[in-house]
Amino acid sequence: MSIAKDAYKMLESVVGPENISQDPTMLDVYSYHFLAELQRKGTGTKFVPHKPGAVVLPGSVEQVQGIISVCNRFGLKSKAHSTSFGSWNAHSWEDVVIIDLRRMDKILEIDEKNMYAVVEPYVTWAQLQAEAMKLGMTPSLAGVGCQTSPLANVTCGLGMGPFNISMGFNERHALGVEWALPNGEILRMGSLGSRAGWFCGDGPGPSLRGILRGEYGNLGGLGVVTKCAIKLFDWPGPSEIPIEGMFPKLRLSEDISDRLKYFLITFSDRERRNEATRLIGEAEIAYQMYAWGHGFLLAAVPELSHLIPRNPEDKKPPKDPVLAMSLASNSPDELLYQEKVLMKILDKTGGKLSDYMNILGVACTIFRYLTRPDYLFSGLARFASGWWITLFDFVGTPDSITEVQKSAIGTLEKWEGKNILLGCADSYCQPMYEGAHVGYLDHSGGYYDVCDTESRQSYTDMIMEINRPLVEKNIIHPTIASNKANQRAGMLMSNFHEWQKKIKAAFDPRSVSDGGYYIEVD
Amino acid sequence: MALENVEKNALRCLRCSNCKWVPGAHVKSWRFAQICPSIFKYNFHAYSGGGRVITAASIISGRTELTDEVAEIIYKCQLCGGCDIACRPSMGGFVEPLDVIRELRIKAVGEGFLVPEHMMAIESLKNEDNMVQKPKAERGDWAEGLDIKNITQEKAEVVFHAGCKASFDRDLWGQIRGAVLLLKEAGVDFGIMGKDEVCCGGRAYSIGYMGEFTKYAEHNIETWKNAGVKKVVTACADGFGALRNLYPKVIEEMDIEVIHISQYLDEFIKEGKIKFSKEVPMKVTYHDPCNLGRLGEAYAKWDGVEKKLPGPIVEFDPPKPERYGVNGVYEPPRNILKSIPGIELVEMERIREHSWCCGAGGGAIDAYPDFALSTAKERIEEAKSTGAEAMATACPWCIRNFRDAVEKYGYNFPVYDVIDLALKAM
Repeated sequence: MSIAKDAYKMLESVVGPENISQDPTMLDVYSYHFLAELQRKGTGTKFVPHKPGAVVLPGSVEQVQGIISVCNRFGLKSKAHSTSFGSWNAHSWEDVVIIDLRRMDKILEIDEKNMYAVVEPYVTWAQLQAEAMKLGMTPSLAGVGCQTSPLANVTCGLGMGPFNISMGFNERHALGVEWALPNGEILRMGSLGSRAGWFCGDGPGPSLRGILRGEYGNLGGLGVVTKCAIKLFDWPGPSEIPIEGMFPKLRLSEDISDRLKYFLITFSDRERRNEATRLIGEAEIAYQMYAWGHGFLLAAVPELSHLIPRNPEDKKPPKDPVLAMSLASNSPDELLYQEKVLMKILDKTGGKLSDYMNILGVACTIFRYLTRPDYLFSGLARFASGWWITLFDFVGTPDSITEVQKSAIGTLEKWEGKNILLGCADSYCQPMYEGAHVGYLDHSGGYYDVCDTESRQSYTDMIMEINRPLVEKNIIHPTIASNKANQRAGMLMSNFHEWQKKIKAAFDPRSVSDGGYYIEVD
Repeated sequence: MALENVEKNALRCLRCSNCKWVPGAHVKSWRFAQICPSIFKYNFHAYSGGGRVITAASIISGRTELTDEVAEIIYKCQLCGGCDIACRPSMGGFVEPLDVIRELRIKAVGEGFLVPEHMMAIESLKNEDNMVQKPKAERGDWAEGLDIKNITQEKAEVVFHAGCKASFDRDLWGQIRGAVLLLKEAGVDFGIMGKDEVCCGGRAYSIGYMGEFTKYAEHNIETWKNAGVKKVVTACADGFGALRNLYPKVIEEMDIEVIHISQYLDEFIKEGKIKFSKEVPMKVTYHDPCNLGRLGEAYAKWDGVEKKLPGPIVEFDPPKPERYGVNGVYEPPRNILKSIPGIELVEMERIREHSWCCGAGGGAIDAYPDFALSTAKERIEEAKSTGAEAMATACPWCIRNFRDAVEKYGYNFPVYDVIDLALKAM
């Protein structure tokens, strides 16, 4: 912790003494991140190797600007985060100033007519959806968890979730944005840049979403987004999540089937499921949708997890690919129409409604995971204390995703019983968008014991073995990458890393934003 | 347990931040979505349940050490268990933040990182057998004129444990006097210990003084057993939680049933032993005390081990008890309120196992009164948002802290015990 005393004093004058700390334990708590234990040059624990210089809690865009100005003046790097779930929130250098955006937690406005909400960084998906639902709307939640930040997801990182099928990939949902640039200026993007309000991300002000986040986001490496208008969409369901009972025995508290219908559908193979999703996408009937491997279904839904073998001699679970989806409409006739179309598609492609939905609790869990993903991913940790949703990930058409999976399945099956659940090599979560023509494959289902070095090492070996042949074929697209990984991947993919460097150099000439998970110029 | 015994728990935190929030599917608004009073006030991640788990990991692995500053982080927490309940649906028995925080406190006390106000409370416990710094001789004054059997002189199968808070706070005497009157009305053969009653020790445990807690637990159980007691009933949720949930950790064979007065009263009403004849026209909301609700589940001992299965699945053998806070005492106080003529019960958003803490627990009311009161303020705001005219609850610590917050912040908002309202209807 060696940031200059003058720097600390200036930061303190910006945020107030109660909103800054250099306490060693406090800073160590900010050095602990999900998945850091898997980093090759890490500590082997969730503590990252570098110690931050200070942590600050700004309460306004002016304070964020002040912090950035101090960092520029003293040559300090800074890294901002909201709820900070994921190693990409970690700082990558010594003495980075951590900007914890927790105090900026307001929903500033919900414009019902124009269907958007203006939020600060620490609003969560659950909070935003709860307020939007009162008005018959919903944002497109990220699948990773409703306790995470919509602003961070939409402007700085990823954007996959169950609503993508009808609402598009979350990158599209950033409208007006207020962005504290690494040089200390405030840039207002979209219609906000012309003082025309928040309603449009593309103008008549600066349209820089491609610069700000591109496909997957800058993951904190390019300044701090302090406000964002997020697109809202129609929600035909009740004004509150209709569940009752007590965990783990939750159930739907009202019959919503006149407006929302939920399905779990199995297919004999991926090709048939891909055909079904293509037809569903073209028919534009799905409201929420995930394609899942059967293994993922059994792991994610606690009411089905008893079907996962515990020993090699136990009965193996089915391998039928799964579609979890919903239909939704404010009009019962339209809902009926959608269901007829769906049934025709299933008839054509051999899709079968799964009996699992008749098991107590499953229907409510599927509803929750598609509507307000609470423990969909974090709940996977109940098998072993460590897991990572992504053994490999890939964005492509459903057919190309299937080809990639097929090339990897042999290796995955080898690892069953070691770092993959028995019988669950085919474990993936695949949200789809662009009318189901594009999918994000998140092949998951790998586990390790955080407290067991051998288990962690074995997991890392497995990742290498699975990914090496895919990289050699140029078919891996890094989503959550790092400075170095982006530079390596860029050389295989149109040198995108060079463009990232140009952007970084232009917007962050003094490299004030920690680009460890984005790009660094040097 | 020692801190090193929770090392695995500490290293397994997912850093998901679920511990700060009401579980997602239960969030009904932006305003009342949070569950952790500590991070709500202090904002740094270290002040969350997960943050304290990581603090434990940092200390255990030698990366940092206990200091006065770290002790402050550890103690600015009401031990309400909100983080624990929010964590369990994902992490099950892998993390258990509440146990980790308790172990941190025991370590802090053991290594001399003592909070002065807590030291005073413990001195009071040692000298006067209560943690509220009042003379022991006055402990039984609340029962004057009630003509109740004293079990130090006569045997009884049921003992009413008044608790430190209500015994010495005249403003709260109505609650415990009312409780014993109701027991009498229902024809229960019970006794009290009067001035010989001593603290349950629960608060000592919560601030890290295991030795003191154990001493009082052993004393109370021995005393009650000698008096032929088979059932202890209390009107204090804190005491209820201690007796039901903490005592079995240190007492092998308790053989004494623990119930809260609201459970008894609920039975009496159903059996027709207590009848309400007067109207109490009031719109009230009910606050679930932490130690009656999510921390009021019966203790279930677990002496198992971790087992590795292929996969690599890590399981507990035998499985750890599922403690999601759902088996606490939630219905009896509500049933009482609903059976009082004229009472309209409206619910807050954060109820039952997701209840927002009153602010008084974990030693906060002694050492960090501002924190305790601001936590209470948040709950009063939530109560008022329902349109209720008053709040009812079932714990003298909650009532004291709420009433102090009402006074400090200038609310016009009465806070009652469920017993107060029951008596109004009789």
